[in-house]
Formats: sequence, structure tokens, C-alpha cells
Amino acid sequence: MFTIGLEISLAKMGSMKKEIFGNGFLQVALTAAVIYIVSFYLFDLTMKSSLIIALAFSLSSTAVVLSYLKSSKEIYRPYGQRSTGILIFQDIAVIPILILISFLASEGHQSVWVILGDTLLSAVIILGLLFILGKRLMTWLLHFSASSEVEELFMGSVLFIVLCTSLLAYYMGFTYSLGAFIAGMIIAETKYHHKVESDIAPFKDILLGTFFVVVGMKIDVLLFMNNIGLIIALFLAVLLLKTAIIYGVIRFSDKHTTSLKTGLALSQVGEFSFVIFAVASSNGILDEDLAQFLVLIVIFSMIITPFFITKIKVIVDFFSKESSVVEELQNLANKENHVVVCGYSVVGKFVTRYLDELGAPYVVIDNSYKHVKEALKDGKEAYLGDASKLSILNAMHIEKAASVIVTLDNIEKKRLICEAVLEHTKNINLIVKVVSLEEKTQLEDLDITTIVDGKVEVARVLVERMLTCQLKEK
Amino acid sequence: MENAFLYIIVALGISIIINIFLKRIGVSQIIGYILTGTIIVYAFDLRANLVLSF
Repeated sequence: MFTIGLEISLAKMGSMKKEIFGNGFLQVALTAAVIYIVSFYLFDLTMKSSLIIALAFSLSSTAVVLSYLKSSKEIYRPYGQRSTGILIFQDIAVIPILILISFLASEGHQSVWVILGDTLLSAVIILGLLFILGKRLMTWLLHFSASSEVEELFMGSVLFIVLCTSLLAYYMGFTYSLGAFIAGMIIAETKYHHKVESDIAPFKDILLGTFFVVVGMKIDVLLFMNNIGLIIALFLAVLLLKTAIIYGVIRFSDKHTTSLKTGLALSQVGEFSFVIFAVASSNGILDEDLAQFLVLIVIFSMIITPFFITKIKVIVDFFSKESSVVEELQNLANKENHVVVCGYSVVGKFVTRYLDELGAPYVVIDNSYKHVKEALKDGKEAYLGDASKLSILNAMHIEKAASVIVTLDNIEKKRLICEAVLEHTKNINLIVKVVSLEEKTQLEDLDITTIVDGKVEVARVLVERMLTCQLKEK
Repeated sequence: MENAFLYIIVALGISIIINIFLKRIGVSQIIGYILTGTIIVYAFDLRANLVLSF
């Protein structure tokens, strides 16, 4: 919880206001409302149980989705941005939910509205206290421990701060994790944010691992086997429902594919639901057996997600049949003798600059949204698409192109593109950049016109410069 | 207490082996950790006295 808080500073929240509070709130509220209605009326559960289940199922898995988005660079794409916004809101929403549970447990005889009111009041008090008084104290402590230049003092102060805040939160009637979260948020505001983050990074990963080991320990294999049909059915129902709702929410402001991708990416039930069920059942709000069963659904969805999430693009492409990309490429129809530049990273940028100097017509194709955006900003004719797909190559009119320059770094992608280009048009001037001998041998069996080895070329230019060396006159 | 120590060491060992294997076939480590937990519970028969703490 502490690390999540660390990632969410107030400034970051401000810059993503619409994604976090607009889309996020709509998603959580709508999903919770629908699931509440279903579980209260259809499954005939009590009001409290339904409320807990609805809120828990409205959350997605930050740990799985966000780490995937980060590692695959999809986070820079529109759907990655939307997903991140909603995930941040959900992470924040966990706190009021946990607070709600503790109040539901302690003042069980009161009505829900009174509990909600009490919760809100206490939350305001603790937040105010910590943000005004706590922030001063923390900055002061961190400042002195950092300036002492003893590493363990700094680590110790961070630990001290987190434990103190957690304890304070606990005495105020909240959970420990809420305190840790607030401590993280406050430290994120100070200038020690990056130092703390890098210091605790290894702990964070191993703690996350421990958390998942505990998740695994909760699996009751027998119960799972006996109810496997029901679990899968319920999981699919939740998945479809969440995809539909998120799709609807995002569709207000974005195009079809982005909405569908976001919906699918966030369709699972997350690790926080697991925490919520565990806390709720230990507080006696949720029936033991029911909680055990729900936990199994959550775990099942978390096991499926890592497999599922990498396939999102394939699924969405299947449903939307790539119409959006090909439509975008329609105006290329009358291109002739143009150069196709695959990839707009550093090398790609220089290639286009030299082509500009030569006055040669060219188009850039890149599979990264970020790169295409950059290219468009630089005033280049750039398109988003995977150049290893035949439909894209068709739309780019490769058969009429003067040549194709592949500037990518990723060898697998490079090979796929070369294969696709050669399959599409046999006789084409294909120029590929490689960075090592190894890559060169990997591409040897293809009929590539020219392979340019980056290192060999640099060596050649170095010697050339040596020969024509012109000393500056002093 | 001694038992707890043993569980932690075994869990660590299992999770490392599973995750090295999973990394090879390109599956997220999360699954490895979850599997580790399940294996530990059944290997040491911890079901009955399981207390979840956060």
C-alpha cells in the first residue's frame, strides 16, 4: 500500500484528473451498482454482503495490469493511459472501502447511511491531521536523516514513518494499510520521493511476491474442483459485465478500439478484492463459506489475467478487423516511388532527416503510438500499424514503393517485417539495419537487398574520418 | 517458530525454481507465487490453522 501511495502524488492526480476521477468514478460506481443489484435481488444475499461483493468486484488488478502495461510500453498508448487512470482511482477507492468495512463491522446495528457519514468524518479528520502536521514532521525527519549520509538511518526513518502512520490510523479505527498508503502519498509530495522509491524497490517486489504466496495459500483445491463450472461461469459473467461497463464509460470520449482494449484490460477482479473479502469475512460481515468461494473466483481471474492480457490486441483486432488502421491509410492509394521507413526511433529519425535533405517522398510506419505521435509532431507523414501484417503492407502500397528501410532494434520484429515484405512483393529494394553479427546471421536466409551492420559502418566512418583528418588551426 | 522458518525457506526455494521455469516459457511470476502458496499449504498440511494477516 505504501508503494502505491508513493506513486500517486497530488500533482500526478491533477494532470490525469479526467482519467482518474471521471472515468474511474463512473466505472467503479456503475459496476458496483450493477453487481449490487444482481447479488441483492438475484442471489438473495444480505444488503451488507451485496455491498461488499459489489465494491470488491468493481476493482481490477493493479499489480498484474500495471506491470504488464509498463513492461510492454503499452502504457503510452491511449488505452494504457485510460487503464492507468481507472486503476489509480480504484487504488484510492480501496481506502474508503476498507474504512467502510471496519465501520460496518463495529457498528453493525446502525443504518448504512449513518455509517457512511461517520466514515467520511473520520477520514477527513485523519487526512487533515496527517497532511498538515505529519508532512512537516516527515520532511523534517527525512531531511536530517538524509543529510547524515548514513544509509540505514534513512531507511530506518522511512520504516519509522510508515509504521507510525499505520499505528495512528489503526488507533483511529482504520486499517494499517490505509496508514501506510497515506504515508506513501505524503512522502511522494516531498523531494525524497525518488530516493525512497529506489531504496524500497527490491523490498516491494519481494513483498508483492509474499502477498501472492499468501493468495496461493488460500486456494482450496477441493472446493475449486467441486465448483469449477460455477466459478468459471461467474468469472465469465463478471468479465463480460466489467468489459461492457468500461467500454461504455470510455466510449463517451474515445474511439471503439481504445474503449474495447481498456475494457478487456481491466475486466478481471483484482488483488484488492481479495483483501476486501479477507477483511470482511474475518470481521464477520461476510459468511465464511461465501468468502472462500468468492476468493476462489478472484484467484481464478488473477491466474487467467497474465495469459489473457497479452492477447488483448489479437482479440480486439479480431473483432474490429483492423478497419480503423486501414481506413487511416486510405489516402496512400496514389503513392508511387516512395520510401517506406519502418520504425521511428533514433535511427528512423535520422533516416527521415536525410530523406528530407534528398527531397525523397517517404512515409513512416511504426507500431508504437508514442513514436507515431512524435513523427506527426515533427511534421512527417506517419501511420500507426504493424508492418509485419500483410493488410498494412497492402495499404502502404509496398509494391509501388521505391524501397523499404527497416530501422527497428527488435530482431524478432525485424525478421517478421522482412518476411512479410518479401512475401508481399518479391522484387523490392529492402534495406535493413542490424547491430550485431548475430542479428545478421539470423536474417541471412532471407532475400534482403542490403543489410547494414551498424558497428561495421561506424568503424568504417571512424577510419574514413581518420584519413581525412583536418586539424583545427590554432 | 522453527517450523515457520522452515516454511519460509521452502517457500522461497520453490518459488525461485518455479519462477525460473515460468520465466523460460514467458509466464508472469505472479502465477509462480500463487502456485508456491498452494503447494506449501498442501505439503505441510497448513489448511486447518491458516490465519490471514495483512
